[in-house]
Amino acid sequence: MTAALLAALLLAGTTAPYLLPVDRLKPITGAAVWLMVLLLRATLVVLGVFSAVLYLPSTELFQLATHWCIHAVIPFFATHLGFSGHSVGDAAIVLPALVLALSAISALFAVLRAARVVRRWLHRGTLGRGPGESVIVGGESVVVAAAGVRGARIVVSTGALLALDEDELTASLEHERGHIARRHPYLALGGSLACGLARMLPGSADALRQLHFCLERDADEYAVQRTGNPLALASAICKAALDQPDLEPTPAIAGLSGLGAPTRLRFLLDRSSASSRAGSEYAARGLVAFLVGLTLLVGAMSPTLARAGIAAAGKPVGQHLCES
Amino acid sequence: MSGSKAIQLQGELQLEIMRALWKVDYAGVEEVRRALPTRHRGAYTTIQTVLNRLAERGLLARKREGKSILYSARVSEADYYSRSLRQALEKASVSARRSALAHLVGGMTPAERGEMESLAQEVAEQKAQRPKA
Repeated sequence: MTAALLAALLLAGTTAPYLLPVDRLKPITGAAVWLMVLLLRATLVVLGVFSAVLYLPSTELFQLATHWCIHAVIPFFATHLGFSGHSVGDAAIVLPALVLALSAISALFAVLRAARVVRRWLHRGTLGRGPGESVIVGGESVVVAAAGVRGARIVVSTGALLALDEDELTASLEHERGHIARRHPYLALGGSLACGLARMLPGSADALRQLHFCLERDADEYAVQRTGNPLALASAICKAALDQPDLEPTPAIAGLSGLGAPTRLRFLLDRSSASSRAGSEYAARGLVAFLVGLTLLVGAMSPTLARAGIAAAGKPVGQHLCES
Repeated sequence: MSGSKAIQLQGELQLEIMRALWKVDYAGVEEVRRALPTRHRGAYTTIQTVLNRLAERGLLARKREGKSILYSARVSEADYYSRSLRQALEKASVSARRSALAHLVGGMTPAERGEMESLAQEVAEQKAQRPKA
């Protein structure tokens, strides 16, 4: 009964964000919603893997399907690799835990590697100080970015310094300053790591894209508040976007047209669409509180579930043939 | 396409000025103006404004010689074309790159690119209608 209720709550928690009118929310509220969705998904995957490790072996169906001995399935290698005496079921249990660990390590490694490349680049590749405490890097393409996670710096390419007019450059710098002032690199990092863990659940990559989109919109709003010139930011985004090479369409992103720069431009060109609705905003904040509570509940219940699982796994299941 | 072309004009003038300065050590406003292609050879004050703007951005150095101010490029032509941050991060996964680098726009699909071109035209039209401050 408790498990069914928990499953229903989890289902509601992961589907509810898709029912919200995200266009009518403050961008930072949207970011909070998608970050919590990712964290909940990551918690679910961890819990799912623990369940698989603890509960699966005690089920009859599992024992029936995986009772073969590894040394019987792959005779030569099993003995040499030390797998002799284990059943195929043992490997099936270890596999999800292995996939989870590899996902977490690879996500963390990828982010650390990218952060190191940025740090090295800023150390070696900067050409001097640019406007508004930025640093200048080479490159004819229009790049204005907040680079790094801790101690992020604003970098401006030589191409951007030439292509953008005064208002566009000011708006772009404010946009990047918004990323740094509102701690977006940390939120993006948290989202990326959670997505790395929840990779095996469909929809996690989309949730991460939604998070990034909300963060970009939040930085847009920060820049508009500071400069009062949405048109200049829109124009800078156009220049930067049209300067980019075409991406090969992939199944993962082909269906997302309208999620990125064009949608942000519409918010900048039509300011009435950028204001949030009080009802939607309260609903989204309520959802964030619900998701925080649900994630904490799932996390707090994990030890109890684990103990129950260990108890269930401890029930006599008969001596395994492979051990004899 | 005309929209995106219109919003590139200022960038073209700035680039032409940089090209003129990459050929010489130091040059005054009039020398730079004469070195520009005819279609970019604007008024003296226009060129002076752009030169000062580029100096404020860190791309040019200024020095006074007598009554006139001379300008020189602080960033070489090789630096201008050198490998950018985006290229340095090309091998990183999209999500890692995004965590390490929040930039003005992310990648776009060809469909979004077509949409952007028409929106760029709309932006250029709205900018043209907006009264100059």
